[in-house]
Amino acid sequence: MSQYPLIQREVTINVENGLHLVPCSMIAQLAREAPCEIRLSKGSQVVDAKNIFDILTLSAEKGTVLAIQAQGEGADMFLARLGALFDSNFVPNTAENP
Amino acid sequence: MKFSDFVVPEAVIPNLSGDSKEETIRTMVASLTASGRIEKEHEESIVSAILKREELGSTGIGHGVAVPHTKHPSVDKMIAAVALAKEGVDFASLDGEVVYILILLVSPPDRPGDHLRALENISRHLRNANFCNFLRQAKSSEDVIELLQEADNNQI
Repeated sequence: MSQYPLIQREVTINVENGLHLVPCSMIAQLAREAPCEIRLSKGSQVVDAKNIFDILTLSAEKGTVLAIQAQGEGADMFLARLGALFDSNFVPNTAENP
Repeated sequence: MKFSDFVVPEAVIPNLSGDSKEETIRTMVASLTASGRIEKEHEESIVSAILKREELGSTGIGHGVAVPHTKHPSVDKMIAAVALAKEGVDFASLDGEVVYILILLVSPPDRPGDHLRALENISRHLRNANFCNFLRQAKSSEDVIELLQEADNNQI
C-alpha cells in the first residue's frame, strides 16, 4: 500500500464544447509533469490523466462532474494545479498565473 | 457512436502521399468534396478553419494518430475522411512523432456532443496498438472500411 493517501477534488466542466481535444491536451500535458499518479473519474469510469486517449474516452460534456484523483509525491500541488486549470475554463495563462 | 456513423467510405485514402500538414489536410478535405458530402464552394473555407484550429495546438495526439477537425455551418451532420500515410507526416504531434493514421472531422456548429462522442470512439479504438497496426497495414479502402466495421462490432 502506498505511503501516500489518495486525495481528490470534484470539478464541473464549464467549457461550452465539453472536454474536447484542447482541454484534454492541456490536462495530459500538465499531468505528465507530475511524479505521482493522476486519474480522472466520471462515475465508475476511471482513466489515467496522463493519457490523452484515455481522457477523451470520458466524452465529458458541459455540466459533467469529474473527480481529479492524485496519489504520491507532489499530489497536493498537482491536484491544485489541475483544479486551477479546470477553474480557468482552460483559458491559457490564467490557470497557472491567476 | 460508431465509425460508420461519420466516416464517409468514399473519403478513405489508404495511401496518402502528401508530406506536409497542409497538403495532407487539403487532400483529405478534397476527398470529402469528391464524395459529394461538402460543396466545392466551401472547401477552401473548411481547409482554412482546420489549419487555424491546428495553430491552437496540434491534433496529433500520439500513437501516430492525428484528428484534424473543425466545425462548419455547411454540414448538417458530422462527416469524416480517413487517411493512411505510409511514410508518416510531420504533424507537430504532442509526442513529437510523425503521424500515420489521420481522421479528419467536419461537424455542424450546434452539435458539440456529437463531436465529443466521435472523439470518444476514435480514442477508444486507436489507443489499442493492435488496431493501429492493423490499420497501418491496410492496403485498400475496402481493407480500412472492413477494419472500422470490425471495430464497430467490437471484433478487434
